[in-house]
Amino acid sequence: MRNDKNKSSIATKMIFFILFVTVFVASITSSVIITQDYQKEMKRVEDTMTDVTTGLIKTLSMSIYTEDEDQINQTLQGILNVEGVVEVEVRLEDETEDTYNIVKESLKNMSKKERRSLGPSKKIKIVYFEEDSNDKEGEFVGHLFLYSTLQLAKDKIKKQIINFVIIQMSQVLFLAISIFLIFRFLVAKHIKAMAVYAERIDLNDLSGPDLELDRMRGNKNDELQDLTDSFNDMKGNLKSAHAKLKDYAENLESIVDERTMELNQEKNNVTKLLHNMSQAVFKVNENQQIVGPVSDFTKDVFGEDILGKNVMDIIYRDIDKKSILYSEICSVFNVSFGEDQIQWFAVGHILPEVLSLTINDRKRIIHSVHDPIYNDEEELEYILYVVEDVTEKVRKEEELSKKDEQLKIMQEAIDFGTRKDLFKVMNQNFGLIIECMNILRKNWKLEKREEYLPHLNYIFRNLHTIKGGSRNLKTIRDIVHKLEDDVSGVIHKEIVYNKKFILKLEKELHKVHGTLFRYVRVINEQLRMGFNVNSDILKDMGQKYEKFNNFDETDNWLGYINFLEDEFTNFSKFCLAINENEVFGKIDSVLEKIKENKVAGVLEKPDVKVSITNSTLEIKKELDEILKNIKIYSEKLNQSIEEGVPTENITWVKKEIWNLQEKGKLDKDNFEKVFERINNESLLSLMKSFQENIEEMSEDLGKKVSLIVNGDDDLIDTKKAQDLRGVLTHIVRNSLDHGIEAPAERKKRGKQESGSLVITCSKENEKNRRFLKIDIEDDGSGIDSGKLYKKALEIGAIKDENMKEADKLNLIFLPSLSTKEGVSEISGRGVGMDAVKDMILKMGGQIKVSSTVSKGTKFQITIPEK
Amino acid sequence: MGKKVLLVEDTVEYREKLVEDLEKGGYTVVSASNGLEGIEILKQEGGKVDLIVSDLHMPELNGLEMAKKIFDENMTKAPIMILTTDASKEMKKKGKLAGIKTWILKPIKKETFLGTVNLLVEKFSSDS
Repeated sequence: MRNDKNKSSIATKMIFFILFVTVFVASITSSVIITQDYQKEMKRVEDTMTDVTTGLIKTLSMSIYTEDEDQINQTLQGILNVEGVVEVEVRLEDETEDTYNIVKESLKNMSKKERRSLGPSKKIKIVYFEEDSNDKEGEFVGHLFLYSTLQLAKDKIKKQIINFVIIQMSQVLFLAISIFLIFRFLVAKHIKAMAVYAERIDLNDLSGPDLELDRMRGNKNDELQDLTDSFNDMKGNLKSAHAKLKDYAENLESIVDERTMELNQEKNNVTKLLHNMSQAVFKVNENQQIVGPVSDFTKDVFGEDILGKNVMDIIYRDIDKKSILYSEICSVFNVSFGEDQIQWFAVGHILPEVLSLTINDRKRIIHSVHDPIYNDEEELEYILYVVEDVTEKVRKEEELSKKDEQLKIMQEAIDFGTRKDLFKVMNQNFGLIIECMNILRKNWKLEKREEYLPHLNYIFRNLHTIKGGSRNLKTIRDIVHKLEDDVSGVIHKEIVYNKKFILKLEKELHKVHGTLFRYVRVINEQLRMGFNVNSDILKDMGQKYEKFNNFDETDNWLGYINFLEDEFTNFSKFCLAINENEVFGKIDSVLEKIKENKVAGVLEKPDVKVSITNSTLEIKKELDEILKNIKIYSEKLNQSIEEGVPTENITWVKKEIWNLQEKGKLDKDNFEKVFERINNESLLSLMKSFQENIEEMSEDLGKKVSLIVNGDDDLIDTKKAQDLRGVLTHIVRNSLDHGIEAPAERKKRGKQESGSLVITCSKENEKNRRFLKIDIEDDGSGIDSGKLYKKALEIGAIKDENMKEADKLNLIFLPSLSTKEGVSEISGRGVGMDAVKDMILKMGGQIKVSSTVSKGTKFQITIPEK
Repeated sequence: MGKKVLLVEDTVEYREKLVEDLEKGGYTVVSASNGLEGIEILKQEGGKVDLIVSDLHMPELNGLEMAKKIFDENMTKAPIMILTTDASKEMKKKGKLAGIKTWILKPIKKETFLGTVNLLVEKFSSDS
């Protein structure tokens, strides 16, 4: 609130100011005017005196000349009467004293000196001119002294000053009052109203009317109107600002609450993150010590609590302490802490991102990311580690890339053309590459260009033929193309022909063989095309395997090393030729190690011995596995052509792939989905495949049986098809053996000589699951359930003597129960019906049997589709 | 005019490689084969180089000793970067007293080497 006592008015200030200025100006002008008047007055007195004397001086001179005293006094009195003159004195010639002196009556009491200083004085020569005389100079008679007073002038001026003051003051007063009134009514009134208005403004209620001036509003705005408008604008702004402020103030609490909650949430999130993230997160300080916070998962990754431990003993514990890497990691820790970002940039990248680490006796692959954490001085304070166990990921990726490659090969093989074509080209390729290897083996010692050049040309031609023949088998083409370039380089003298080249060529030829072999494996394993490889490399696997197994350490270490070097060199090439590149790498590094140690002369040092022996053992283990597999595989390849994927499956897959290609939808997922189907078999084809068996068997048994297959076709996977084949083989054999009668018997029973076996396939939906239903029905003699029951009791398979008729037939599924006393040549072998039931139950299915004596038997099998 | 780097390295092949890298990176290189020579060249240049890159282990005067002399006698304001195969904590401590700005571990990839050089030179020119 304002203090009313200290109020002052602009109008009052203005009046004082105007008064001061006008008085000041008036005083100066007045004094100038008065001074001028004073001087004028003085001059007038003097003039008067001069006038008087000139008028009276003649009379006076005559009176003095004539010594007429009366006249003299009369004249002097006359002069004294002139306005302003206060004393007249005449000093005659030759007289030193005053001769005549007259003083104004009123001033007689005044001292002479005082009187004579009242105004200006004048000394006039009195000269007498004789009448009618020509004497121009006249006769000097004395001096006239005139003394005047300015009192009159002063009185006049005084009067004038008073007049001036009165007039000026009244003028100034009038002006000031007028201005005051004008200001007050035109301006101050409104300003005061504004002040009052402003004072009354209530921040909580700004809804009142706007400020209006108490006057008519003109067409044009003056300063006051502008001020009012600005004031109203300001009020508007204040209103909205206040509203916001109010809103903010009202919401502040809830905002604070909300923010606090958010922060807590964030904090919780961080904690939660540390609890739940599937990575090990921790910091390492300059003492290489692991400090918190540490994520919960850290324990899972490292298998132990690592807080407070030295990072070198945790994540880097499997790195050889004498290795360069280990010393580099130590150096990074030594130089980085307390330093800037440049130092981290220079060395931070040295910390390995992928590490192999044994955790709880299991080899794991660890992925580790490092981030610098700086303090306020921008010096490195901690290194943040985010560590993940990527073992599974890497394995899956490897699997995936292997699968990718398989899919690529499969597509290439499918697109190649007919199976026959593919086989022809692949076998030709094997032949050509083996030929190249043989040429190289026989001629690698040739040094003269004219001697080795024809052989190189031959190899080049072979490679070229492989490339040309392989058409769309891209991986083969690519690898051959590269090798072809190298050989051509030597032929055209762009590459030096030396031992290094020969070794490379040998290695690359084996690699080409390995690539061909990879194609074959995929083609056979995935497409089951039954491709028989004819390669010398795969021959004599038995011998190779045996040789390898005799490969034992002897007492003669150096001799063993030599033997190892030879054999390992051979096996490493073999590994390349069968596409076991990883093992090749391992063998190669052991060979390298042996070579290094040999050069350094430390081959016999105990630690070197241990290291080489350990690596050799590891390789031997892997080689053993590989050789075993390859031996089995190559034997299989040589023995028989596997049953391939049914042609219709391949056709179907081809068509699907083309369709997808046309629609531009052929991606990895779709391709995989389609390819899945290639490994499936057609259900009806599977059923029809029994035709051959039935023909054979019925001939053996001297029966006539015709197979009828009908119903819906479906694709079922290989494993299921195999199981189903086993099951059906037994049922079919049983039907032929025990069910369908010999032609003569059938004739007797009034049946057709030829029996029939009907297989009907259909699909069924039950509780959202899809089932395959396979019915196998013969028109044979049927199963005598009574006989079956009797037999079961007899052999003690069952104890229940009151079995229901409907259940008796199911006794067929009991172990070792047969309906024929004599074990027939056929049914005695293979699985019994109990095994059939077992197998179907394992497949998640069911089997039912129904039979009418002398009419026939029906088996109903239901298995889930997937 | 490119920035100037003083390179001190005793192994001829490695020195040549680094000179090549630096020149490819747009630097003018003056090189020396040991610490004494390094100081000599620095004096010839009137201390006006933008960076000193030095090997640690060298005959005559090693990198650390050279850096200490340069630092103590205030021969230049340019930062010093040391190349070494391994660095201990003691070494780093001594290096701090010798005004060594950055340690780099040999062998080093060209990109990292040039990257570090660029950062140091840039920082030096913006600081001075």
